[in-house]
Amino acid sequence: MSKSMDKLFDELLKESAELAAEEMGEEILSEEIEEHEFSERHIANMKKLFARERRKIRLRKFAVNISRAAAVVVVLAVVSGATIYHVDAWRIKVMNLFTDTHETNTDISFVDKNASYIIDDITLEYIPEGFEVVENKQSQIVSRVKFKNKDKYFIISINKSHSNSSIDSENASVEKIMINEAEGFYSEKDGSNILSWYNYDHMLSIVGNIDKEIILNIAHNIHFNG
Amino acid sequence: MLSESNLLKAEQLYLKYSQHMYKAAYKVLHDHVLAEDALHNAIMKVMKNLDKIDETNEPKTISYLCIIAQNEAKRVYNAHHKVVLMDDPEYGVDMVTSYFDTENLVISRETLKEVKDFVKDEKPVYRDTFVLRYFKDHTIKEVADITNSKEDTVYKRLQRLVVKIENNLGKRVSQ
Repeated sequence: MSKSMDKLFDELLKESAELAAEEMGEEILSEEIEEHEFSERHIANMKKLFARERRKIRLRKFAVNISRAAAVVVVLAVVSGATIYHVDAWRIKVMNLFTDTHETNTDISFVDKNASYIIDDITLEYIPEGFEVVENKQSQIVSRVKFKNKDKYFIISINKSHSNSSIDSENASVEKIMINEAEGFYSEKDGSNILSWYNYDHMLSIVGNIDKEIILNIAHNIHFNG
Repeated sequence: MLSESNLLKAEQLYLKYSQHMYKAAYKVLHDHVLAEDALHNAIMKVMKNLDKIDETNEPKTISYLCIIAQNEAKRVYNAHHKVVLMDDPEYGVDMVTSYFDTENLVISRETLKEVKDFVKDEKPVYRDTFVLRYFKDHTIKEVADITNSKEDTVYKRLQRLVVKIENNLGKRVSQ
């Protein structure tokens, strides 16, 4: 049998199958139907079947939406990360976020591992000329020494606890400064300058109306005796 | 998996043709509960084959749905009565030999009607297999699934029926 005859015969079978199906359908439609009242069990089963399929569709949609959302988040993270990294002003802003800058203050958190430090354990090797101790307060948690020279003063505080110290950073400039390999934060506001840093499990700060250079000089010349 | 529009299509088919499908199943089972179960299973099968249904032609749609419902009813019947399916014994091996040379085939309206009538008069299992394969273009595997048969059995049924059609046409040509 040639291929074309094969194809022709196949077409004949298809056409006749379609005609047979149509005629069978017409016969079914022409028959009288005695309406059957479906049982509650059957109705419930059919409802369950359609509800299950509907749930599958919803779940599939949800999965698609979630993966789309995840893709958008990843793209945004990559794009914004790259943008922040390449723009200096934004990079600093974001880095400042990690120092937890709030509207009115900057929190610096340290974890205290061994709370046993006292004021006698530190030596101030540099004291600006003319300054004298006017106040010396010590407690189990904080040691505080105030130096004064006429209208100029500075206070050195040593916090020996688990500390959450705050620097008033509202309308103030805050910058990171290294003090003998320790990271500190320096802030200026309304003529009051603050330097805070962490060393030997203690939080130290120098607050005063003296110049930044003098504060840094004092900080760099503090030695721990223990 | 179903799309939202296909699920809607399935629900509409059920609402419109459930009585006819139920009747087709009941004819086989003579039991209301079992016929309802067969209808439920048939709708599940319809859901898998929604792309084969063109709702614009009601007679073709309903015959397809009833074929599925009836075959599902047979499956329920066999399961319920623990019937072991045998191959069709009355169709002997010799039936696979065709004595018709299709080179002599002349396709006319008459030939078409003759083949259609021949198929319609066949046993339901052969008729359904033929319609599913040649009208709905189902694969052998899909036909086997709908008719609850082995693929090999479906293949044999088709082969035998086609040979019968060929021989029937051959008789007409030689007359």
